[in-house]
Amino acid sequence: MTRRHGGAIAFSVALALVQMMAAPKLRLWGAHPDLLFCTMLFFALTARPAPALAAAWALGLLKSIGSAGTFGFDSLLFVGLTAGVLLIRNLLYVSHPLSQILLTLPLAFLTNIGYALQRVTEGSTLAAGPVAEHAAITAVYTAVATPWVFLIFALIVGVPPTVFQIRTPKGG
Amino acid sequence: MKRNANTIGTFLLLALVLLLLPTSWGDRLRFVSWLPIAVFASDEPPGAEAADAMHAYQLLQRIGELEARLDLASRYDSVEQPSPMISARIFLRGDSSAWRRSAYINLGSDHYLAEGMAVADRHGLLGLVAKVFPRYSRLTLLTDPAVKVRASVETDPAGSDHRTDPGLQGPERFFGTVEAEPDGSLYLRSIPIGTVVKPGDPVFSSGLGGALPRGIPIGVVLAVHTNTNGLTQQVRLRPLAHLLSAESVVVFLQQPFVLDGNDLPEPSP
Repeated sequence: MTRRHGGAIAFSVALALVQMMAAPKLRLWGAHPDLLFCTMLFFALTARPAPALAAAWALGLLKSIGSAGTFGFDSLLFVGLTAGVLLIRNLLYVSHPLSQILLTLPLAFLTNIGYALQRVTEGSTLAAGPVAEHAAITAVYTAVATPWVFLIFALIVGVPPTVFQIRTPKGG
Repeated sequence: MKRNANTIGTFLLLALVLLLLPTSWGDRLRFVSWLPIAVFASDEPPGAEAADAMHAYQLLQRIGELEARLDLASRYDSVEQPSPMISARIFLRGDSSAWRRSAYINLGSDHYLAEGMAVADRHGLLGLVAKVFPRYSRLTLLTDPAVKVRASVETDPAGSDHRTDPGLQGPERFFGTVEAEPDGSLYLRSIPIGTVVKPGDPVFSSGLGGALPRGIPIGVVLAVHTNTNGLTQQVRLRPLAHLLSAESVVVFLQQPFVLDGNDLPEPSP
C-alpha cells in the first residue's frame, strides 16, 4: 500500500466522521450531503475494478458503523452501485464538475429511495411525497458536494483533478 | 470481462455476508468502534496518578455538573405519572445516514437502561432509547420517522363556541400520535376534525400505552392542517427539546424498572 492509498483511506475515515457528526448540523430542509457516496463514486470512476469494489465495501461498512440502520445494507448498496458504474464508466465523460453533478444526481436519488425502502421494511410509515422530496433534496445536496470531494481525492490519490483518467484493465 | 464479473460477484457476496451477519455481531462492531469515545465521556473518577491540582479542578467541575443535573431533574417534578429518572450526558450526536437522527448517551444496560425509555433535556422530550449497550446507549431522536409517541394537545377553548363538551371547564385535551417526516418536521396526527387547536398550544406525552410517563413536554403547535381524508387533522409542531445542542439529559426509567425494589434487571456482562 502506498502513502497515497493511506492518505485516501485516512481521508475516507475523516469524511465518515464528518458525515456523522458535522453534516447533520448543516442540514438544508432536513437533508445533508452523503459524503461517503461521493467517495464511493470517485473510486468507482477512477480506480481499477477490484480496488473500487473493495473501497465500496469498506465505505459501506464505515457508513453502517456510524448509522442506526441495518448492518451491512450500505455495503450491499455501494457494491451494487459500483458494479453498475464499472459496467458503464467507459461511456461516461466525468472530467467536468457539471458532468460529475449530472451523474451523481440520479444515482444519489435512487440510493436515497433505497434507504427509504429500507426504513419501510423496518416498520416506519413513510408517505411517497415526502420521501421523493427528501430523496431529491439529499441527491441535489450530494451532487453539489461531489466535485469538491473528487477534487480533494484527486489531489490525494494523484489523479489530475480536472481530467480523471479511467484505467481500463487489460482484456476488460 | 469475465474476471470483472468474478470480482463483482465476490464483493457482492462479501456484502451479503455483512448483511446476513447476526445482529449482535454488527452491534458488537459498532459498540467497539464508539467505546473509546464513550469511555472518554464517562464519569469515571480520575486515576490515582492524576495531579492534585487537576483532581481538585475536576471535582469542582463535577460539583457544578451535579448541581446542573439536580436542576434538570427538578424540572420534571410535575410529570403527572412519577417515574424514576437518571441523569446522562450526550457524548456523540449524529448519524451517517440522512434518513436517520441518532445520538449517544453515556449510560447503558449497566445503568438499568432499556430500549424504549424516554429521554428529555431541560426543555422537553428528546427521543427514545433505541439500542442499549453495556456502557452507552443509542437514542433515536424525536425528529426521526421511526419514533411514534402517543401525545395530547391541551387547548383552552374559553370564549369559543367550539368546546367539545360544554359542561366541562378549563382546558380540553385531545389525543393523537406525534410522528416526524423524513425532513425532520414534526406532526401531531389523528386529531379529530372539528376540535379547535391553536398555534401556541402545548403538546405533552399522553402516557397512553404505558410506554412513556404522562406529561413530558414535547412541543408547541405551529399550524393546523386538515387531512385529505377530511376526517382528521394534523398539527405541525415545534419541538421544545434542543435536539442539536442538548448535552445533559434525563432518562425516565419507567415500569417495570423500580429502582428501590428487588426486581432490578441484571446488568449485561
